[in-house]
Amino acid sequence: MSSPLIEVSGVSKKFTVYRQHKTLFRLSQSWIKGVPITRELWALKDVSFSISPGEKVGLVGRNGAGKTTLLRILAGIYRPGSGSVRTPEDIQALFNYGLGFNPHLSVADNIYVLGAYQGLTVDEIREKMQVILEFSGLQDLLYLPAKDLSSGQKERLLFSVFVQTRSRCLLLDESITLADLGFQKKSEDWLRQAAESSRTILMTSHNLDLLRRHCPRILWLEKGSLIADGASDGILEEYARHCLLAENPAGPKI
Amino acid sequence: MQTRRQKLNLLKVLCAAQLRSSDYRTAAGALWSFMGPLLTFSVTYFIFVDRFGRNIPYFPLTLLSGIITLSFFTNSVTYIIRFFRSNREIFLNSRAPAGILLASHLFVPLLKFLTEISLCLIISAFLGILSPAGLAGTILLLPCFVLLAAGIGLYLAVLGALAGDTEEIWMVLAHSLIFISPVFYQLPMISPWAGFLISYLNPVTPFMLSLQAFITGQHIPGFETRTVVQAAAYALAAFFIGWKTFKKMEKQVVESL
Repeated sequence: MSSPLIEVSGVSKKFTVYRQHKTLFRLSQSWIKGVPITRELWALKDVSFSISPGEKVGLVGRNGAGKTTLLRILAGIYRPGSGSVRTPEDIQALFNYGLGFNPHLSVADNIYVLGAYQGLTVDEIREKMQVILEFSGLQDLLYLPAKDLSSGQKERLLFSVFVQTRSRCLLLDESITLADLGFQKKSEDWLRQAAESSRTILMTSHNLDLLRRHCPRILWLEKGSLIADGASDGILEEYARHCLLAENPAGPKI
Repeated sequence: MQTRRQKLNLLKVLCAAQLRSSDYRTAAGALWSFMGPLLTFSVTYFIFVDRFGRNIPYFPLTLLSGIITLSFFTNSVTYIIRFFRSNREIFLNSRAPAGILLASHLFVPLLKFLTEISLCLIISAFLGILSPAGLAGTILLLPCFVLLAAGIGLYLAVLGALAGDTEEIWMVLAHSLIFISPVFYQLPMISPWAGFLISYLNPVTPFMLSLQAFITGQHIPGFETRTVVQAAAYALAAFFIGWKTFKKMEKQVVESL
């Protein structure tokens, strides 16, 4: 058995959150009087798992379970509070919140900026420009300022640039949620090809069918703790039941 | 984002993007962006020419170089203070190096500053008062001045991310800087204690005196050789403290965004 590509061992992460708007006055008042204006929020608690090269793993959990925090730690954006993380150097992440659009620049200029964030050079982007535009379906909007694009169109553009990355390890955080059905289908086709390749993928989604189709293994986070790690079928069914019950403990009322 | 080539590429693309989204992408836009300092110059000139200007040789050029110097300093520090907030999405969603993001943010203000200072040097040469030593001194001093603005900006950026009112306090200070820097007056024209405070507590003063002396080729009261040394020392100390604070607190700040 090959050594794991991603290894997470006993990782915990807490954030310091402010009870009120932080100003110099309040910070100095708190420092002088010794009254804390912050509190701790645990996002991850003692999470351990490993992922082998080529594995496709889904990450599920309710809102606020710690999925994005975990992906940001794996991407090297956050530091783990305790524990250790080992990831490949060329790991690439795509988060659903978007990345660095310059609203005043055209779609074409933004493709260069987004590509540079993903490690693509100007020449490489120039070479792939037509492919990116075809994938995104935004050929007619090449010179439109990015501020005039809809959220779905921005997501199309971001995803279309991201799929050009050469990285062997990809992290996807709810990356295809806003686009229309046509683009979701196109993205899923790409995902299918990536799943059949030797690339390692860790993805979060609330679309359980999508995860069932592409990820044989599921990690389930609940309130920052990893509560299940195993084959997708059993875990996804249990997770779906848990979600419905948590939102409506008394069962459906008609 | 790992290799040196990828980092350089990111810097190049981001600088080009900043340039394209600014007025500086065309010559007419560059001229238009000069309107701000020119307007400040006109107003300040007409108000202070009788009170101070008559006793200052080449007052218009001295005033213009002072305004340009101060304008770059306040604009750059303000840009850097807003740095974390305006790049929130990038910090939270990518591993783009902060140094590269910062350099690209400073690219347009720096270009503007260099153009404006070049204009002052051209006027000075046209008037026949620019010496080779003055030109060399200006060229050597500019990187130090950029370091000073970057250092103070970085320190305040960290403070600004931890306390929301830092930017408001800075804006009040920035607006008062024109009065506490020798832009439209010379140090002997104010009280000795005020002159002492402005010379040593305002880090912009040694740069302003040096640049005014280099550009106008005149003796500026308060400017001596040690003023250049003082300027360089302020720049190195400010950048060292600012950069160290920034690197030490960077992750903590990102997590608080």
